[in-house]
Amino acid sequence: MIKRQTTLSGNIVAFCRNLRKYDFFIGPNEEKDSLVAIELLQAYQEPGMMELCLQTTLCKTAKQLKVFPKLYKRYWKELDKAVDSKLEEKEDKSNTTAQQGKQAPSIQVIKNWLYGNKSEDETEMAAYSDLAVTGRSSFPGFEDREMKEVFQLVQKLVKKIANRRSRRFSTTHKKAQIDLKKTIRKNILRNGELIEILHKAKKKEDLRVVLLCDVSKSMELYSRFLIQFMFAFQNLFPKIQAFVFSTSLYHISEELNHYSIDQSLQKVLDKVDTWSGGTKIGSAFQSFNDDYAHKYLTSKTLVIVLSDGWDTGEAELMGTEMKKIHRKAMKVIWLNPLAGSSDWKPEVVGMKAAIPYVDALLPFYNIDSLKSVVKDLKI
Amino acid sequence: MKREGIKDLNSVLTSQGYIADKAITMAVYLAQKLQRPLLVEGPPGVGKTEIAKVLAKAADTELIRLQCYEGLNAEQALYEWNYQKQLLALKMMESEKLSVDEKEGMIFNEEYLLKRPLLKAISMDKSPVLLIDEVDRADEEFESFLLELLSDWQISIPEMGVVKAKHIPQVIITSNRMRDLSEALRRRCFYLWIDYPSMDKELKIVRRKVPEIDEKLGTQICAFMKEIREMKLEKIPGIAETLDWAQALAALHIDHLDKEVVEDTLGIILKDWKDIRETGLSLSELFEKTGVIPKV
Repeated sequence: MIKRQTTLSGNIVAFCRNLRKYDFFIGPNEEKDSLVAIELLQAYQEPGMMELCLQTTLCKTAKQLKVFPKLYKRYWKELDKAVDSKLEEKEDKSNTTAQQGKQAPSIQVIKNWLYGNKSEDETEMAAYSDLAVTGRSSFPGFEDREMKEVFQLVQKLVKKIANRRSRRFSTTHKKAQIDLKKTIRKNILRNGELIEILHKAKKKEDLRVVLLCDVSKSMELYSRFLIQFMFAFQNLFPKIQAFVFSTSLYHISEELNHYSIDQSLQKVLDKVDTWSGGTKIGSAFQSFNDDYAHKYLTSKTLVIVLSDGWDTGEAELMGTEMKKIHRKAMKVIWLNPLAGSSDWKPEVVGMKAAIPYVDALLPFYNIDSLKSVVKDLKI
Repeated sequence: MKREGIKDLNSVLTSQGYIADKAITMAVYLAQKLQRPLLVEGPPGVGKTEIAKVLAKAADTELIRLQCYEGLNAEQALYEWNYQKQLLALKMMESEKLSVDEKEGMIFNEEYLLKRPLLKAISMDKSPVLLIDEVDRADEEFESFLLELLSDWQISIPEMGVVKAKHIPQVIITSNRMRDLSEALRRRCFYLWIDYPSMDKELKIVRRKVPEIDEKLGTQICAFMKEIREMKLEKIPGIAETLDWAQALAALHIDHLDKEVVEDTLGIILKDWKDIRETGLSLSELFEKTGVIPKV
């Protein structure tokens, strides 16, 4: 809703407030900058100049730069309309509601089931489409003993990850590199006679983990174990970002952050509406690269992919997206449930396309295989 | 009219051989006037680093460059103590009856400080241009070092206290977007995105930098580069490559592009053998698109 402001500064501030809704990080400082810039250039005399002034002072990322002209035009247009009356912004909400409407019944099926409404004769059937099959998955209650074992194993894995050495130094008692600065300070008393020598060693590396887990139909057999694994990982290692994908991608870190696994599972199922559907690994990775890679992939990020590589999308896309991930991340580890059997070869087209960009491919399907992953994984 | 300032800046940049569009000029101008660092992002080879060089030349001031890399730390970027000198000083003070505190005060002062780029930049007598190149290659921790400098123009040295800037340097930070920079850093800067140039702009640059080039050849080169950037390449060539190519062809006294010339000189603009092979295979198509008729 835009109210007409009578002064230029009032309008600029209102515009800044409007931008904040679109993820611009604008505080009083930025507002001040823009006003100073406009004053400096007397930009209010020329609309083009004014836009450029505001763009330069208010945009801080490439993405913001891209959407700015549109937002700018829309704002002033709205402002013109807002002469006396209050105008409600009519965002193109119609589109989104229509989409939600399409998928709503199928989500409802899972939700009903989740919240204890387990009637066999369901009123709604899960809808089938080429794009996504939304079905229900069966997760019998998680046994405490089993969960405990997963936790212990993941704990070991986490230790392994957390113990990597960084390039930075900290003081140590071991005989390592000499820390000259501290040594000199310590020995000033002895007139620079270096008697007590201090050492420094490389600090622990601050590693992060991104988990990409396939929850399509072909992975259904292992879903239960994967959920346990992700839940344990998320709870033991705070620097992890967990995603699940089938035909599209979902960020589920927040959902996994609950006290109990059942609670987490419920939240995850609430969010993910294409559980046990088809697989489009390529496009799922593409949306990861587009939306999250900038934020979560660094040269200190370990990417763990949990998937069998069965892909109904384009193999070429999968290759290019895997390449992007591989280039940005420290390491890509692919845990494949099928890799366990002796006669398995990466012959699925998708898997073949991805293999060049995978640093380690390990079998992964139950607790025993997790044990060997913990043992064999070199980070 | 205060707007003259921005025109002046544009002509200064042009006279130094830098062809800047409106957005670039505006960003540089406001960064100068409001004393803010300028964060420049864009694909490799579009002249991000060049801005800093040109500004230093135009203002006839020193360019201090800090090349970032993984593992870059405070000692390499800010300051380090001159340990040998400190030890010698301690030896010389042996006979004097000084307390530890006094000695410490003597050897941890400016005389024993080795100034690294960032500290050097704020302690110069004339405001320099500070170029922090490829900041995305450094660790995220390094960004935090920068924050104090970029917002308050000062550096804290635990043994000495705070060193305030004598003159505020003009800071240009470049990034290739290998990773996302923190919001904190972005907020302290003005932001500029430089993309591959339009054909007109590129032609202007080529004419400016390689004045001896044949007019027709210049146009052909730029048209060719424009098409090549549309292809799916491992490494998309930037302006630097265009200029190399133009210079090479001008030196060979060639006045138009033909298949043979392009085949022989592709290595100048493409730096990946796969790219060269693929481009080599689709040369005819490229010629068609650029409107250059290859001589058979």
